[in-house]
Amino acid sequence: MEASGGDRDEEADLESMEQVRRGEAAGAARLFRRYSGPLLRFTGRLLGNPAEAEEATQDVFLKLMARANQYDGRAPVRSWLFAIATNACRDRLRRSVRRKSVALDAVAEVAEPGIPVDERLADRQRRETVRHALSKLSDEQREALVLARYHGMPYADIARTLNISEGAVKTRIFRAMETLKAHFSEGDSPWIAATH
Amino acid sequence: MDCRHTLKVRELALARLAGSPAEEEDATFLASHLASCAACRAEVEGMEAIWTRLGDDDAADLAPSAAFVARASAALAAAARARAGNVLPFRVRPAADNLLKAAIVLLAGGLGFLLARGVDRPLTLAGTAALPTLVPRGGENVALVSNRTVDASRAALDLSGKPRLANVAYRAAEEPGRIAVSFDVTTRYTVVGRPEDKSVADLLVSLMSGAAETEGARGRALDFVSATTREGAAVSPEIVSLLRRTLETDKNPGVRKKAAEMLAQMPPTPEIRDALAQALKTDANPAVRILAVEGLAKSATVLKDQTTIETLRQKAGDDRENGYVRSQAALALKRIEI
Repeated sequence: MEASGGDRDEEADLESMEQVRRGEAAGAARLFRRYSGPLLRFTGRLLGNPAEAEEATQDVFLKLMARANQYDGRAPVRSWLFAIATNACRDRLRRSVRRKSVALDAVAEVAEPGIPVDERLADRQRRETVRHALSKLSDEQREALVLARYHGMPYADIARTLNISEGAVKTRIFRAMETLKAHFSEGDSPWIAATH
Repeated sequence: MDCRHTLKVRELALARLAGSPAEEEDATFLASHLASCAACRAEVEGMEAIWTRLGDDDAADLAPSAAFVARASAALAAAARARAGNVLPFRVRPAADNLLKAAIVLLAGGLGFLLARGVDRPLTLAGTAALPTLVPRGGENVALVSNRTVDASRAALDLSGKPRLANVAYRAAEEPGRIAVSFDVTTRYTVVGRPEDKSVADLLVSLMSGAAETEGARGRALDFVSATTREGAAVSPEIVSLLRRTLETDKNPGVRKKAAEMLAQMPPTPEIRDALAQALKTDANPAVRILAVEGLAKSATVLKDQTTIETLRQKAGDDRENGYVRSQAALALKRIEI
């Protein structure tokens, strides 16, 4: 059986995990380089706060090192990391007063020189609109939808990451889309009103 | 929206958006239905618009800031230093004993099945080229109706014509210990029987292979058989053979993992042992090889098989192998020796 790209990635991740288990910093560094970006974006969308997302993402890798001996290699490392991140976000959301809407200045700023100011402002407004819409979802719906929409995870991987059935994944994403549809059709967003 | 296919269309369209592969027949249905149903087309276009709109947040997908990378790297380095010299070995998973107990229960079930197969009734089927043929005991004609339930203990299916089975659904039947598999050909059939009934087994094999060529359909059939296996039901030799072929040839690692997991759960037989040993030697996916180790450990324990023990020993000492697989093999050997 010829190794696919996914097989090779899983093999490389396992080698990194083995290094982590042996206490070698190189393994954690390699996994950090590979997954810190996706995890930062994932936690950012769940928590709605860049500073908290950075803390949560750092926590994920510290837990990875602390619990390396609990990982048995059966599930992909990627799913394991996103599962740890999901739990880290849930803990933070439970501990803090939930922000239902993310202030514009809390959204990561895109510093792209050469883009006119009015265009940048329009981008920010569109992004804020989406963040606001995502904040209308339940935590469970948002977790499943974000993994599918922004991380390209197939249903089976989302199910493994969230420790639920594939049927439950479908239901959560479906309901999330229904909520978004109602939200957008209400026209409670200035951007929606402006673009229709 | 007044179309009776609304729910199915929404589910399929969403799966397509989410990148989870639909079955070929479902994709065909969706395309043809959307071409003829304006209401569903509008519904799907609405979903696609929302999905696209969510992409307005893609601009926030930036790389981690240099400050964050520096801060996190320092924290990880500190944690690594703290852990240095305090490396924990792999832990034996407590599930191992339960797996062994499950193996014994499954073995008992499998022996019961083999005994039952020995006095199995002769098949009384006549085949056709395209459709599954129903041959009732007593030779009566079977009238075609819009929905039909077939008792697998009274009639057998001829699937030799490899008919295309659409809209397949699985459920537990009302009578304890029986399952129900429904599908459409020219009418809606529901075949009810025990998993070891030849009609049911043939149908499942057909769905896991020729009649279900897409990953989604294969996966669903594997999941259903897996769930049935976990309940302690016997597994037909045809299903074992199909799982072996799947493990050897399927290009999708997820499907191979499911096949390996199911074979590892079944009562060990020489065929299962050989399939798992081959996977341990050649499969490109480490998770598949770990599952193979688990299955082989069970085989070695139940079959008292020295060849399998030697295979595990070689794997445990193979420097080219991933450390997780080697460790699992070493743990398996330790458990066998205990």
